[in-house]
Amino acid sequence: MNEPSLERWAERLTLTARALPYPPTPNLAAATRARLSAATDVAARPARPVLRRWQLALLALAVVALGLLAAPPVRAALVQFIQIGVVRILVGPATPTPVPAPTSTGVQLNAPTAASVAAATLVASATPVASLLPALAGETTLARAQTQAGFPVLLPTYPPDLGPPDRVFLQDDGAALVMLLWRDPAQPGRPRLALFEIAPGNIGIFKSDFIKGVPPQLQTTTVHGQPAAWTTGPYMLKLTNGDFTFDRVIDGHVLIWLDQGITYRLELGITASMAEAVKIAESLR
Amino acid sequence: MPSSEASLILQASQGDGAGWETLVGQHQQAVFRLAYLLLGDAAEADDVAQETFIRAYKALGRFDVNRPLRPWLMRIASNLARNRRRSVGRYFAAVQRLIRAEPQAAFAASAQAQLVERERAHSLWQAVRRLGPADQEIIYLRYFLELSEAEVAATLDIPDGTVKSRSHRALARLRAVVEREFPTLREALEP
Repeated sequence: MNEPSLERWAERLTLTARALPYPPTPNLAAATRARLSAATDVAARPARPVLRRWQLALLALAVVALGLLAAPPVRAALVQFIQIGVVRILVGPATPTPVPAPTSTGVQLNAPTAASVAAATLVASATPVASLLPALAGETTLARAQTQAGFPVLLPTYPPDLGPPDRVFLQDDGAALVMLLWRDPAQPGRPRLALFEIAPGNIGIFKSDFIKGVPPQLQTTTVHGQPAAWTTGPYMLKLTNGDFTFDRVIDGHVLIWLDQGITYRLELGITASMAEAVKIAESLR
Repeated sequence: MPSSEASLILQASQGDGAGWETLVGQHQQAVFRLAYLLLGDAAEADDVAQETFIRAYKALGRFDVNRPLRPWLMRIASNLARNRRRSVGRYFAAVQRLIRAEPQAAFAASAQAQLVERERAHSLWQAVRRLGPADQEIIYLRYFLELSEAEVAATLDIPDGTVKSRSHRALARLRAVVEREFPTLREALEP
Protein backbone atom coordinates (compact mmCIF):
# COMPACT_ATOMS: atom_id res chain seq x y z
CA MET A 1 0.00 0.00 0.00
CA ASN A 2 1.47 3.34 -0.93
CA GLU A 3 1.78 6.30 1.41
CA PRO A 4 -0.82 8.66 -0.16
CA SER A 5 -3.38 5.88 -0.22
CA LEU A 6 -2.88 5.15 3.49
CA GLU A 7 -3.04 8.86 4.27
CA ARG A 8 -6.36 9.20 2.50
CA TRP A 9 -7.60 6.12 4.28
CA ALA A 10 -6.56 7.70 7.60
CA GLU A 11 -8.47 10.87 6.72
CA ARG A 12 -11.63 8.84 6.14
CA LEU A 13 -10.97 6.99 9.34
CA THR A 14 -10.86 10.27 11.27
CA LEU A 15 -14.13 11.39 9.69
CA THR A 16 -15.74 8.07 10.58
CA ALA A 17 -14.43 8.20 14.16
CA ARG A 18 -16.01 11.62 14.69
CA ALA A 19 -19.44 9.97 14.55
CA LEU A 20 -18.70 7.76 17.54
CA PRO A 21 -21.24 8.58 20.24
CA TYR A 22 -19.42 9.07 23.54
CA PRO A 23 -21.19 9.06 26.88
CA PRO A 24 -21.58 12.55 28.33
CA THR A 25 -18.41 13.72 30.03
CA PRO A 26 -19.00 13.74 33.78
CA ASN A 27 -18.36 16.85 35.84
CA LEU A 28 -14.88 15.91 36.92
CA ALA A 29 -14.13 19.26 38.51
CA ALA A 30 -16.85 18.71 41.11
CA ALA A 31 -15.93 15.08 41.67
CA THR A 32 -12.22 15.73 42.11
CA ARG A 33 -12.93 18.77 44.30
CA ALA A 34 -14.92 16.55 46.67
CA ARG A 35 -12.20 13.91 46.77
CA LEU A 36 -9.41 16.41 47.26
CA SER A 37 -11.21 18.26 50.03
CA ALA A 38 -11.97 14.96 51.77
CA ALA A 39 -8.26 14.10 51.61
CA THR A 40 -7.37 17.55 52.93
CA ASP A 41 -9.77 17.16 55.85
CA VAL A 42 -8.14 13.88 56.83
CA ALA A 43 -4.66 15.40 56.56
CA ALA A 44 -5.74 18.40 58.62
CA ARG A 45 -6.96 16.32 61.53
CA PRO A 46 -4.84 16.80 64.63
CA ALA A 47 -2.40 14.02 65.36
CA ARG A 48 -3.67 11.46 67.82
CA PRO A 49 -2.29 12.31 71.26
CA VAL A 50 -0.02 9.88 73.04
CA LEU A 51 -2.09 7.80 75.42
CA ARG A 52 -1.54 8.28 79.13
CA ARG A 53 -1.49 5.36 81.54
CA TRP A 54 -5.11 5.82 82.66
CA GLN A 55 -6.17 6.05 79.08
CA LEU A 56 -4.40 2.78 78.37
CA ALA A 57 -6.30 1.21 81.25
CA LEU A 58 -9.58 2.40 79.78
CA LEU A 59 -8.52 1.08 76.41
CA ALA A 60 -7.81 -2.32 77.95
CA LEU A 61 -11.30 -2.34 79.44
CA ALA A 62 -12.73 -1.44 76.08
CA VAL A 63 -10.86 -4.32 74.47
CA VAL A 64 -12.33 -6.71 77.03
CA ALA A 65 -15.79 -5.31 76.32
CA LEU A 66 -15.24 -5.74 72.60
CA GLY A 67 -14.17 -9.31 73.26
CA LEU A 68 -17.51 -9.92 74.93
CA LEU A 69 -19.25 -8.27 72.03
CA ALA A 70 -17.48 -10.62 69.69
CA ALA A 71 -19.82 -13.38 70.80
CA PRO A 72 -21.75 -14.12 67.59
CA PRO A 73 -25.22 -12.86 68.57
CA VAL A 74 -23.86 -9.54 69.81
CA ARG A 75 -21.43 -9.10 66.96
CA ALA A 76 -24.14 -9.80 64.43
CA ALA A 77 -25.96 -6.69 65.56
CA LEU A 78 -22.92 -4.57 64.77
CA VAL A 79 -21.65 -5.99 61.57
CA GLN A 80 -22.19 -9.11 59.59
CA PHE A 81 -19.59 -10.45 57.29
CA ILE A 82 -18.49 -13.70 55.98
CA GLN A 83 -15.00 -14.51 54.81
CA ILE A 84 -14.60 -17.22 52.25
CA GLY A 85 -11.01 -17.50 51.08
CA VAL A 86 -9.96 -14.14 49.67
CA VAL A 87 -13.54 -12.92 49.55
CA ARG A 88 -15.03 -11.02 52.44
CA ILE A 89 -18.71 -10.23 52.14
CA LEU A 90 -19.68 -7.42 54.44
CA VAL A 91 -23.42 -7.47 54.59
CA GLY A 92 -24.03 -4.43 56.69
CA PRO A 93 -22.70 -2.14 59.34
CA ALA A 94 -24.77 -1.21 62.37
CA THR A 95 -27.58 1.14 61.49
CA PRO A 96 -30.06 2.98 63.66
CA THR A 97 -32.88 1.30 61.80
CA PRO A 98 -34.42 -1.79 63.37
CA VAL A 99 -32.66 -5.02 62.49
CA PRO A 100 -35.10 -7.00 60.37
CA ALA A 101 -35.91 -10.51 61.37
CA PRO A 102 -33.83 -13.13 59.60
CA THR A 103 -35.82 -15.03 57.07
CA SER A 104 -35.60 -18.71 56.45
CA THR A 105 -33.69 -18.03 53.28
CA GLY A 106 -31.26 -15.45 54.46
CA VAL A 107 -30.79 -12.18 56.25
CA GLN A 108 -32.63 -9.20 54.88
CA LEU A 109 -31.22 -5.82 55.80
CA ASN A 110 -33.43 -2.77 55.80
CA ALA A 111 -36.38 -2.16 53.58
CA PRO A 112 -35.76 -0.94 50.08
CA THR A 113 -36.88 2.49 49.06
CA ALA A 114 -38.03 3.26 45.58
CA ALA A 115 -35.22 5.75 45.16
CA SER A 116 -32.49 3.38 46.28
CA VAL A 117 -33.78 0.56 44.12
CA ALA A 118 -34.01 2.90 41.19
CA ALA A 119 -30.47 4.09 41.79
CA ALA A 120 -29.16 0.55 41.98
CA THR A 121 -31.02 -0.45 38.86
CA LEU A 122 -29.72 2.56 37.05
CA VAL A 123 -26.11 1.81 37.88
CA ALA A 124 -26.45 -1.87 37.19
CA SER A 125 -27.94 -1.42 33.76
CA ALA A 126 -26.39 1.87 32.69
CA THR A 127 -23.62 0.26 30.66
CA PRO A 128 -24.39 -0.31 27.02
CA VAL A 129 -24.53 -3.92 26.02
CA ALA A 130 -21.20 -4.19 24.34
CA SER A 131 -19.02 -7.20 24.34
CA LEU A 132 -16.27 -6.10 26.68
CA LEU A 133 -14.60 -9.44 26.83
CA PRO A 134 -12.41 -8.89 23.76
CA ALA A 135 -10.89 -5.94 25.59
CA LEU A 136 -9.85 -7.98 28.59
CA ALA A 137 -6.25 -8.94 28.90
CA GLY A 138 -5.08 -12.45 29.58
CA GLU A 139 -7.22 -14.54 27.27
CA THR A 140 -5.70 -17.92 26.81
CA THR A 141 -6.55 -21.53 26.15
CA LEU A 142 -7.76 -23.98 28.73
CA ALA A 143 -4.67 -26.12 28.25
CA ARG A 144 -2.40 -23.14 28.82
CA ALA A 145 -4.32 -21.97 31.87
CA GLN A 146 -4.07 -25.45 33.32
CA THR A 147 -0.29 -25.47 32.97
CA GLN A 148 0.30 -21.85 34.01
CA ALA A 149 -2.17 -21.23 36.83
CA GLY A 150 -0.04 -22.95 39.45
CA PHE A 151 -3.02 -24.93 40.72
CA PRO A 152 -5.34 -27.49 39.15
CA VAL A 153 -8.01 -25.70 37.13
CA LEU A 154 -11.20 -27.59 37.91
CA LEU A 155 -14.17 -27.79 35.57
CA PRO A 156 -17.83 -28.42 36.35
CA THR A 157 -19.19 -31.74 35.15
CA TYR A 158 -22.74 -30.55 35.78
CA PRO A 159 -24.91 -29.65 33.88
CA PRO A 160 -24.03 -32.63 31.70
CA ASP A 161 -24.35 -30.64 28.48
CA LEU A 162 -21.97 -27.90 29.62
CA GLY A 163 -18.78 -29.05 27.94
CA PRO A 164 -15.51 -27.14 28.08
CA PRO A 165 -15.54 -23.36 28.66
CA ASP A 166 -15.93 -21.11 25.63
CA ARG A 167 -13.53 -18.46 26.90
CA VAL A 168 -10.60 -18.76 29.28
CA PHE A 169 -8.70 -15.92 30.92
CA LEU A 170 -5.67 -16.12 33.14
CA GLN A 171 -4.28 -13.22 35.14
CA ASP A 172 -1.30 -13.40 37.38
CA ASP A 173 -0.56 -10.14 39.14
CA GLY A 174 0.99 -11.71 42.19
CA ALA A 175 -1.74 -14.28 42.59
CA ALA A 176 -3.24 -16.26 39.76
CA LEU A 177 -6.86 -15.87 38.79
CA VAL A 178 -8.53 -18.02 36.19
CA MET A 179 -11.84 -17.01 34.69
CA LEU A 180 -13.86 -19.51 32.71
CA LEU A 181 -16.90 -18.53 30.71
CA TRP A 182 -19.59 -20.65 29.15
CA ARG A 183 -21.82 -19.05 26.55
CA ASP A 184 -25.55 -19.23 26.81
CA PRO A 185 -26.61 -21.03 23.62
CA ALA A 186 -30.06 -19.46 23.88
CA GLN A 187 -28.69 -15.94 24.15
CA PRO A 188 -25.51 -15.54 22.15
CA GLY A 189 -23.16 -12.96 23.61
CA ARG A 190 -24.12 -13.74 27.17
CA PRO A 191 -22.51 -16.25 29.41
CA ARG A 192 -24.44 -19.13 30.85
CA LEU A 193 -22.11 -19.18 33.81
CA ALA A 194 -18.78 -17.76 34.85
CA LEU A 195 -16.39 -19.47 37.20
CA PHE A 196 -13.51 -17.66 38.86
CA GLU A 197 -10.74 -19.70 40.47
CA ILE A 198 -8.57 -17.48 42.63
CA ALA A 199 -5.29 -18.48 44.21
CA PRO A 200 -4.38 -17.16 47.64
CA GLY A 201 -2.02 -14.24 47.57
CA ASN A 202 -2.02 -10.53 47.19
CA ILE A 203 -5.18 -10.05 45.16
CA GLY A 204 -6.60 -8.35 48.21
CA ILE A 205 -9.84 -8.61 50.05
CA PHE A 206 -13.11 -8.42 48.25
CA LYS A 207 -15.73 -6.58 50.18
CA SER A 208 -19.32 -6.26 49.33
CA ASP A 209 -21.46 -3.87 51.21
CA PHE A 210 -25.13 -3.29 50.85
CA ILE A 211 -26.42 -0.21 49.18
CA LYS A 212 -28.20 1.74 51.84
CA GLY A 213 -31.81 0.74 51.80
CA VAL A 214 -31.45 -2.13 49.38
CA PRO A 215 -31.68 -5.56 50.91
CA PRO A 216 -29.01 -7.95 49.76
CA GLN A 217 -29.54 -11.60 50.45
CA LEU A 218 -26.85 -13.71 51.97
CA GLN A 219 -27.22 -17.36 52.70
CA THR A 220 -24.62 -19.63 54.10
CA THR A 221 -24.46 -23.13 52.74
CA THR A 222 -21.84 -25.77 52.15
CA VAL A 223 -19.98 -27.20 49.21
CA HIS A 224 -18.65 -30.65 49.98
CA GLY A 225 -19.18 -29.87 53.65
CA GLN A 226 -17.10 -26.66 53.52
CA PRO A 227 -18.65 -23.26 54.31
CA ALA A 228 -19.95 -21.38 51.29
CA ALA A 229 -21.87 -18.18 50.71
CA TRP A 230 -24.70 -17.58 48.27
CA THR A 231 -25.40 -13.94 47.56
CA THR A 232 -28.03 -12.27 45.50
CA GLY A 233 -27.96 -8.59 44.81
CA PRO A 234 -28.18 -5.83 44.41
CA TYR A 235 -25.25 -4.98 46.59
CA MET A 236 -22.14 -2.89 46.31
CA LEU A 237 -18.93 -4.72 45.61
CA LYS A 238 -15.87 -2.92 46.87
CA LEU A 239 -12.68 -4.43 45.68
CA THR A 240 -9.18 -3.18 46.29
CA ASN A 241 -6.88 -4.16 43.50
CA GLY A 242 -3.58 -2.39 43.03
CA ASP A 243 -4.09 1.33 42.69
CA PHE A 244 -7.84 1.17 42.42
CA THR A 245 -10.83 0.69 44.57
CA PHE A 246 -13.37 -0.94 42.35
CA ASP A 247 -16.86 0.04 43.28
CA ARG A 248 -19.85 -1.42 41.47
CA VAL A 249 -23.39 -2.52 41.99
CA ILE A 250 -23.65 -6.26 41.59
CA ASP A 251 -26.98 -7.83 40.86
CA GLY A 252 -26.07 -11.41 40.10
CA HIS A 253 -26.37 -14.67 41.89
CA VAL A 254 -23.02 -15.75 43.17
CA LEU A 255 -21.77 -18.76 45.08
CA ILE A 256 -18.40 -18.45 46.80
CA TRP A 257 -16.52 -21.27 48.44
CA LEU A 258 -13.03 -22.38 49.33
CA ASP A 259 -11.45 -25.68 48.46
CA GLN A 260 -7.82 -26.70 48.90
CA GLY A 261 -6.83 -23.07 49.38
CA ILE A 262 -8.42 -21.90 46.14
CA THR A 263 -11.35 -19.50 46.30
CA TYR A 264 -14.09 -20.25 43.81
CA ARG A 265 -16.66 -17.73 42.70
CA LEU A 266 -19.47 -19.02 40.52
CA GLU A 267 -21.71 -16.42 38.93
CA LEU A 268 -25.01 -17.42 37.41
CA GLY A 269 -27.97 -15.70 35.84
CA ILE A 270 -30.63 -14.27 38.08
CA THR A 271 -32.96 -17.19 37.60
CA ALA A 272 -30.53 -19.70 39.07
CA SER A 273 -31.20 -21.22 42.48
CA MET A 274 -28.74 -21.86 45.28
CA ALA A 275 -29.34 -25.61 45.01
CA GLU A 276 -28.42 -25.48 41.35
CA ALA A 277 -25.26 -23.49 42.11
CA VAL A 278 -24.19 -25.93 44.83
CA LYS A 279 -24.78 -28.82 42.48
CA ILE A 280 -22.52 -27.18 39.90
CA ALA A 281 -19.91 -26.39 42.56
CA GLU A 282 -19.85 -29.94 43.83
CA SER A 283 -19.42 -31.28 40.30
CA LEU A 284 -16.01 -29.65 39.86
CA ARG A 285 -13.35 -32.15 38.86
CA MET B 1 0.51 26.38 25.07
CA PRO B 2 -1.64 29.34 25.95
CA SER B 3 0.10 31.46 28.56
CA SER B 4 -3.12 31.51 30.56
CA GLU B 5 -2.70 27.78 31.08
CA ALA B 6 0.73 28.31 32.62
CA SER B 7 -0.64 30.88 35.02
CA LEU B 8 -3.57 28.64 35.91
CA ILE B 9 -1.16 25.80 36.62
CA LEU B 10 0.91 28.09 38.84
CA GLN B 11 -2.18 29.27 40.69
CA ALA B 12 -3.44 25.72 41.13
CA SER B 13 -0.09 24.50 42.41
CA GLN B 14 -0.32 27.22 45.07
CA GLY B 15 -3.67 25.88 46.21
CA ASP B 16 -6.05 27.90 44.06
CA GLY B 17 -8.99 25.52 43.65
CA ALA B 18 -10.76 27.70 41.11
CA GLY B 19 -7.71 27.71 38.88
CA TRP B 20 -7.49 23.95 39.02
CA GLU B 21 -11.16 23.51 38.24
CA THR B 22 -10.79 25.69 35.17
CA LEU B 23 -8.01 23.43 33.97
CA VAL B 24 -10.06 20.33 34.68
CA GLY B 25 -12.93 21.80 32.71
CA GLN B 26 -10.64 22.45 29.74
CA HIS B 27 -9.26 18.92 29.58
CA GLN B 28 -11.85 16.66 31.12
CA GLN B 29 -13.51 15.69 27.86
CA ALA B 30 -10.30 14.53 26.19
CA VAL B 31 -9.19 12.63 29.28
CA PHE B 32 -12.58 10.99 29.78
CA ARG B 33 -12.91 10.04 26.13
CA LEU B 34 -9.47 8.48 25.98
CA ALA B 35 -10.28 6.41 29.06
CA TYR B 36 -13.62 5.44 27.53
CA LEU B 37 -12.01 4.37 24.27
CA LEU B 38 -9.43 2.29 26.08
CA LEU B 39 -11.83 0.70 28.55
CA GLY B 40 -15.15 0.69 26.73
CA ASP B 41 -17.10 1.51 29.87
CA ALA B 42 -18.37 4.90 30.99
CA ALA B 43 -18.25 4.22 34.73
CA GLU B 44 -14.72 2.92 34.57
CA ALA B 45 -13.69 5.81 32.37
CA ASP B 46 -15.15 8.19 34.94
CA ASP B 47 -13.10 6.52 37.69
CA VAL B 48 -9.93 6.69 35.64
CA ALA B 49 -10.53 10.31 34.64
CA GLN B 50 -11.11 11.32 38.25
CA GLU B 51 -7.99 9.50 39.36
CA THR B 52 -6.05 11.18 36.56
CA PHE B 53 -6.94 14.65 37.81
CA ILE B 54 -6.35 13.72 41.45
CA ARG B 55 -2.87 12.43 40.65
CA ALA B 56 -2.09 15.36 38.42
CA TYR B 57 -3.15 17.81 41.11
CA LYS B 58 -0.95 16.13 43.69
CA ALA B 59 2.03 16.20 41.32
CA LEU B 60 1.40 19.70 40.03
CA GLY B 61 4.27 21.18 42.00
CA ARG B 62 6.70 19.09 39.99
CA PHE B 63 5.12 19.88 36.61
CA ASP B 64 7.06 22.10 34.21
CA VAL B 65 4.62 24.92 33.45
CA ASN B 66 6.35 25.59 30.16
CA ARG B 67 4.96 22.34 28.84
CA PRO B 68 1.36 21.77 27.74
CA LEU B 69 -0.80 20.07 30.30
CA ARG B 70 -2.94 17.89 28.07
CA PRO B 71 -0.31 15.36 26.92
CA TRP B 72 0.74 14.89 30.52
CA LEU B 73 -2.85 14.27 31.60
CA MET B 74 -3.38 11.90 28.69
CA ARG B 75 -0.30 9.95 29.66
CA ILE B 76 -1.52 9.55 33.23
CA ALA B 77 -4.96 8.50 32.01
CA SER B 78 -3.48 6.06 29.54
CA ASN B 79 -1.30 4.41 32.20
CA LEU B 80 -4.19 4.17 34.62
CA ALA B 81 -6.48 2.71 31.98
CA ARG B 82 -3.82 0.18 31.04
CA ASN B 83 -3.49 -0.94 34.65
CA ARG B 84 -7.21 -1.11 35.09
CA ARG B 85 -7.58 -3.15 31.94
CA ARG B 86 -5.64 -5.82 33.72
CA SER B 87 -7.43 -5.55 37.02
CA VAL B 88 -9.44 -8.31 38.56
CA GLY B 89 -12.38 -6.02 39.14
CA ARG B 90 -12.74 -5.51 35.43
CA TYR B 91 -13.29 -9.22 34.97
CA PHE B 92 -16.04 -9.20 37.53
CA ALA B 93 -17.61 -6.16 35.94
CA ALA B 94 -17.50 -7.52 32.42
CA VAL B 95 -19.13 -10.79 33.36
CA GLN B 96 -21.62 -8.99 35.52
CA ARG B 97 -22.71 -6.77 32.68
CA LEU B 98 -23.08 -9.64 30.27
CA ILE B 99 -25.05 -11.73 32.70
CA ARG B 100 -27.30 -8.89 33.76
CA ALA B 101 -27.70 -7.26 30.38
CA GLU B 102 -31.33 -6.43 29.86
CA PRO B 103 -32.83 -7.29 26.49
CA GLN B 104 -34.47 -3.87 26.45
CA ALA B 105 -31.07 -2.24 26.86
CA ALA B 106 -29.73 -4.27 23.97
CA PHE B 107 -32.67 -3.27 21.83
CA ALA B 108 -32.27 0.37 22.78
CA ALA B 109 -28.59 0.30 21.95
CA SER B 110 -29.32 -1.31 18.64
CA ALA B 111 -32.12 1.15 17.88
CA GLN B 112 -29.84 4.03 18.71
CA ALA B 113 -27.26 2.65 16.36
CA GLN B 114 -29.66 2.83 13.44
CA LEU B 115 -27.89 5.89 12.26
CA VAL B 116 -25.49 4.59 9.70
CA GLU B 117 -22.64 6.83 10.68
CA ARG B 118 -22.79 5.84 14.29
CA GLU B 119 -22.96 2.19 13.39
CA ARG B 120 -19.95 2.61 11.17
CA ALA B 121 -18.06 4.42 13.90
CA HIS B 122 -18.88 1.60 16.29
CA SER B 123 -17.58 -0.93 13.79
CA LEU B 124 -14.42 1.07 13.48
CA TRP B 125 -14.00 1.07 17.24
CA GLN B 126 -14.50 -2.70 17.32
CA ALA B 127 -11.88 -3.07 14.59
CA VAL B 128 -9.38 -0.96 16.55
CA ARG B 129 -9.98 -3.13 19.58
CA ARG B 130 -8.71 -6.13 17.65
CA LEU B 131 -5.26 -4.50 17.65
CA GLY B 132 -2.60 -4.64 20.34
CA PRO B 133 -2.69 -2.07 23.16
CA ALA B 134 0.10 0.10 21.69
CA ASP B 135 -1.58 0.30 18.29
CA GLN B 136 -4.92 1.09 19.89
CA GLU B 137 -3.42 3.88 21.94
CA ILE B 138 -1.80 5.68 19.06
CA ILE B 139 -4.89 5.37 16.86
CA TYR B 140 -7.17 6.73 19.56
CA LEU B 141 -4.86 9.64 20.28
CA ARG B 142 -4.12 10.53 16.68
CA TYR B 143 -7.31 9.73 14.79
CA PHE B 144 -10.15 9.53 17.31
CA LEU B 145 -9.15 12.36 19.62
CA GLU B 146 -7.22 14.12 16.87
CA LEU B 147 -4.21 15.13 18.88
CA SER B 148 -1.36 16.65 16.90
CA GLU B 149 1.76 14.59 16.27
CA ALA B 150 3.61 16.71 18.81
CA GLU B 151 0.93 16.09 21.43
CA VAL B 152 0.96 12.37 20.74
CA ALA B 153 4.74 12.40 21.02
CA ALA B 154 4.55 14.16 24.37
CA THR B 155 1.80 11.85 25.59
CA LEU B 156 3.67 8.69 24.67
CA ASP B 157 7.06 10.19 25.50
CA ILE B 158 8.50 9.30 22.10
CA PRO B 159 10.13 11.41 19.33
CA ASP B 160 7.87 13.02 16.72
CA GLY B 161 9.36 10.82 14.00
CA THR B 162 8.46 7.71 15.96
CA VAL B 163 4.86 8.88 16.14
CA LYS B 164 4.80 8.98 12.36
CA SER B 165 6.29 5.53 11.86
CA ARG B 166 4.28 3.94 14.67
CA SER B 167 1.04 5.47 13.39
CA HIS B 168 1.81 4.20 9.93
CA ARG B 169 2.33 0.65 11.16
CA ALA B 170 -0.79 0.77 13.36
CA LEU B 171 -2.87 2.07 10.46
CA ALA B 172 -1.62 -0.67 8.15
CA ARG B 173 -2.54 -3.30 10.73
CA LEU B 174 -5.94 -1.72 11.26
CA ARG B 175 -6.60 -1.63 7.57
CA ALA B 176 -5.74 -5.33 7.34
CA VAL B 177 -8.23 -6.08 10.13
CA VAL B 178 -10.92 -4.00 8.44
CA GLU B 179 -10.36 -5.66 5.07
CA ARG B 180 -10.44 -9.10 6.62
CA GLU B 181 -13.29 -8.78 9.10
CA PHE B 182 -15.35 -5.64 8.42
CA PRO B 183 -16.42 -5.67 4.76
CA THR B 184 -19.03 -2.93 5.13
CA LEU B 185 -16.61 -0.66 6.88
CA ARG B 186 -13.96 -1.45 4.29
CA GLU B 187 -16.19 -0.11 1.54
CA ALA B 188 -16.93 3.04 3.50
CA LEU B 189 -13.28 3.76 4.19
CA GLU B 190 -11.90 3.10 0.73
CA PRO B 191 -10.83 6.39 -0.90
